[in-house]
Amino acid sequence: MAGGPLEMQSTWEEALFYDLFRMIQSIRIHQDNNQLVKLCLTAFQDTVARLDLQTDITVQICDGRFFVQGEKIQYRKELLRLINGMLQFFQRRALEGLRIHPAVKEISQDELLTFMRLLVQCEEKTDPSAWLLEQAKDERFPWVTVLKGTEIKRRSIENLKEKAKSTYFHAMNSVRDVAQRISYQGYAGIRKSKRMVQNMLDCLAEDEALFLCLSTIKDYDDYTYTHSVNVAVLSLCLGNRIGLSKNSLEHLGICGLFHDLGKVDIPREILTKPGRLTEGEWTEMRKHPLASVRQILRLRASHEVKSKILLAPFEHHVKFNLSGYPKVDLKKDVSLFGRILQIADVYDAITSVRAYRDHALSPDQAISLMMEGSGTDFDPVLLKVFAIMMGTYPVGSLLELDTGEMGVVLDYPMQTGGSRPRVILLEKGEHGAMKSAEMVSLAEKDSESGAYRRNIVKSLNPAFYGIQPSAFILQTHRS
Amino acid sequence: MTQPSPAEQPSKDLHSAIRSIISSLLLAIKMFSLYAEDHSHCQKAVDRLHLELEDFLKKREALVLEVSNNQLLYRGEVVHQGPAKDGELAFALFRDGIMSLALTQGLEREETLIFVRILERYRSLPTGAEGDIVTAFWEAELPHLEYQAVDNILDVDGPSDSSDGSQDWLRSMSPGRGDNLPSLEAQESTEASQQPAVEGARQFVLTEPTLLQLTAEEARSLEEMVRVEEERDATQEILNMLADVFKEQQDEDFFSYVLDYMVEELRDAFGRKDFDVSLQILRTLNHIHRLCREAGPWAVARVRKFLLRISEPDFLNGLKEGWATVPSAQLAKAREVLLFLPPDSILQLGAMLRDVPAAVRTILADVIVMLAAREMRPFEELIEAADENLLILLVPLMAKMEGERSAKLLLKMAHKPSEKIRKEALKAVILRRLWAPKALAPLLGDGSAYIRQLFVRYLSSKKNPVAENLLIEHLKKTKFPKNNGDELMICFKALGKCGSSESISFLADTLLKGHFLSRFRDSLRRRGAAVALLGLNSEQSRGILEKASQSRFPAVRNAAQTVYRPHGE
Repeated sequence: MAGGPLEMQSTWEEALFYDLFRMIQSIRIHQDNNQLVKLCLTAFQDTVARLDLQTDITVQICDGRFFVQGEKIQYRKELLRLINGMLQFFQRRALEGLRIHPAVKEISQDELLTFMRLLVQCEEKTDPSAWLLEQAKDERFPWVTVLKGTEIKRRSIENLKEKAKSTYFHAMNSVRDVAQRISYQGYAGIRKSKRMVQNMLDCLAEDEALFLCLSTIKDYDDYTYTHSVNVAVLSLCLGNRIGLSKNSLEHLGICGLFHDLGKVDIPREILTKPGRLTEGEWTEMRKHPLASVRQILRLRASHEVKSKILLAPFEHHVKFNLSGYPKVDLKKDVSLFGRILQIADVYDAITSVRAYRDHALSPDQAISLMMEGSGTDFDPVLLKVFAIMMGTYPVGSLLELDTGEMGVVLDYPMQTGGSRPRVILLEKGEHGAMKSAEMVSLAEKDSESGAYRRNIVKSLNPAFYGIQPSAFILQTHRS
Repeated sequence: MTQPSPAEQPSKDLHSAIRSIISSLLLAIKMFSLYAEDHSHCQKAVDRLHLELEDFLKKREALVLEVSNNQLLYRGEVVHQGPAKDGELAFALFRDGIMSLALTQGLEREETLIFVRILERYRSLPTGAEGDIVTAFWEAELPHLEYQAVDNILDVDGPSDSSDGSQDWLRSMSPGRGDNLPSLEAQESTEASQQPAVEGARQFVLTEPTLLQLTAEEARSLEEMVRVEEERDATQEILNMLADVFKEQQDEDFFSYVLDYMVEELRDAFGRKDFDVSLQILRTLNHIHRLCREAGPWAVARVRKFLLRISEPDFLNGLKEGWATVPSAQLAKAREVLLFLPPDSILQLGAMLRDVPAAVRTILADVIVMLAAREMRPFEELIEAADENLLILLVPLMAKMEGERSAKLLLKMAHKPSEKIRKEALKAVILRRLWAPKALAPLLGDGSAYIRQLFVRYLSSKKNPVAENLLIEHLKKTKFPKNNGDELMICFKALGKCGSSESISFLADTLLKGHFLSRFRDSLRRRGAAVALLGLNSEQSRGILEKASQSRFPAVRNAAQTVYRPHGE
């Protein structure tokens, strides 16, 4: 999905480049039968038809710049995200570009989709460009030539995990720092938080699944801060899925981190009260979105940033049908950021153990429950995208398998069609704590019967087992 | 991070080339701190730096610099050294956690310029800075700049009272702690009841996300909501929200933060000449003002402070320029907006009169008059401080004002040494029908014929003994040059209009009497007296004219008869 209006293209080279980007993005996110994928494929084919190709068209990287048919794609502000996204996409696949031949006019949408899907998937291979060339050999795709490039140094998965982990905890620390500064000195800067959001966006760009898995980190004792970061993580993933610009994502991330800043004003006894809140306590609790606005106004941030991050924290408990709290006369709908935060906030809250509720829902239960509120509590379209993004058993889900084993979802490799995950099996350690055992793929089949070796029975609640799924994932080497 | 070619051996030339690049970079940064970015000094400095970089990058993949707190190093060799203090290049990079940075082949001039701009802007970080070099690099997305930065940045805000608890937490985090396992017993909570119900024992109908697909319509609506979000201006929503929050949280601190926010919002809107938004802001302020009257005197005082703040020069300066492109529909809005300003802003608005297009000047004038009606003092101060050119623009505004203070000020203006100002003042006096013949009497002897005649016409505007006496005295004492007969006639005509029976004897004497011989010669005075008598139009005056028309002296007779003749005869 593109991050900007169609009017951003001023030349046919930019139009073609834009369609290619859109097509790649939609295929990365959605399945083959998705309507958006079809729309993007059609848009690309329409542009190609309009161009009425008589000669080849080359889309190529040279000196860190993109060229279409020898014309450099200009670094205009509105194209920056698009160009950088494409640069990353090609470089991570060690590709220099593509040469599209006039025969492209004759191909079916399925053929175009097959190639584009391979182009997207090749990133997971050891030598992506060689693999792609192998897939394309024997004139399988006579309408396109893959231009092999030099592979850029990719951050190793271990580096990525380290980076993700450190970003998460620095982000948490930055929220804590801001909250404490506001409490003690009455104001706080947002420099650290801004940097953390930028780092979060880098992690998201590099590995969405790994980044999303960070949201499974739960800390009963430090709930407010882990919750704030989790809401930021989930919001950024959802915002990225729907194609928000980098600039908007930066603001959305800050909204996520600071949406509960108002809880600084609420007495700890109320926040951590195990039982039911009294009416008075509940009234106090319901003031926190207003208090968050108050705290955000006290931040030492530019007016521009403040104006982007004030509204969503205020609205994050206002439901899609404008019920909820605070009770206000909203003349318009809840803002997009507010609707995103609300989904992320509820999801993280109901999948976490709280002082007043010692059980939490598993991710799939949470999604199912939230779907019941689609259109009333939540924006139905955003919730749908969120559910698709999280998958049946999101990365970090704790599963019970039909072998009696228990495991944490690690990822969904494309080689297996993306439907059967790899799982880190868990076993009891010396002191009753769970520890990781081997990593298995649920796509593995028994060589004799041809049946899957392991199947999912149901998801389990990690909190019930005292498990931090993210910790298993962040410690496991993916290969 | 791109590394230099391993085959390349650092040499003296190489290092001196890098030192020269860094000198050029420092010079460019300095120029940017001294001059506006489009100044030729800045542009030349960027050109020079970019040429050197281009030259360097022609032969190498990248220029990679490592950073320490007081040094920049190229392959371990110090290429720049400076004290480890705020404002220094190496220290600023180090402070923001940059370990190394590389400029790579393909670098464009625009990127070099942005690179310099960022380094200049963030060389020193004020307390509570919103961003730093790293956040700015990240946002700029320079394709040919790579950098490695750590997250443990130096804190310009000073230490907070927080210990780095999350790091402890990180260290202690184990995947499965197995202790304090919460039970699965369901407990209701009030908050949970506000969210979708969470029931521990509940059986869920699980959604199968892989079966969820966005329809084409949903995909389009998603694209549309993103587009709208990217382009939207949430000002009104934020203002409504602030008003709502204020209803709930009426405390002084919060109120002052809201007002600070609104000041900045208004400053932006003024700068953009966005009067729709400005109007929204000021209407919200009005709304909050009404609410806060109940909150207590502190709130009223805060609002007053807000109003003073937005009438200060640095604030209203944003309104000075950029009017040429403002659509006419917005001008009407501008008037409405400016009327929200406090009278103190007259000082700034008045000063702007000279610099704005005519249509805007009309609006400003109108606004100044309305604001002065609320409080005259700022206008008086403005008049006091204004130079001749500005006074020429300001004096006419007093024509639309009411009240004693503005009248007094206007009469004062009528005696200014500048003829232009006196003229404008007198016109204003006439327009506002201010009757002060005595105070303006010196204008009868004004050096400007235009002013004298205008004043005489002013005196003639109604029957009045003061005006009558002034004119009689003037006619008696003033020796009108022969070539200035018109003015003499104007005076007599005026006397005819403003005079009464009190003038009769003077006019009769002027018409009928005189030196024997003079009654044989035509005289302007005699004719003027006849005109005045005709103007008086009383039985007595007509009688005198009758008598004069039968006089045996031809000059007297002619003077009287002339006034009865149709014009031109």
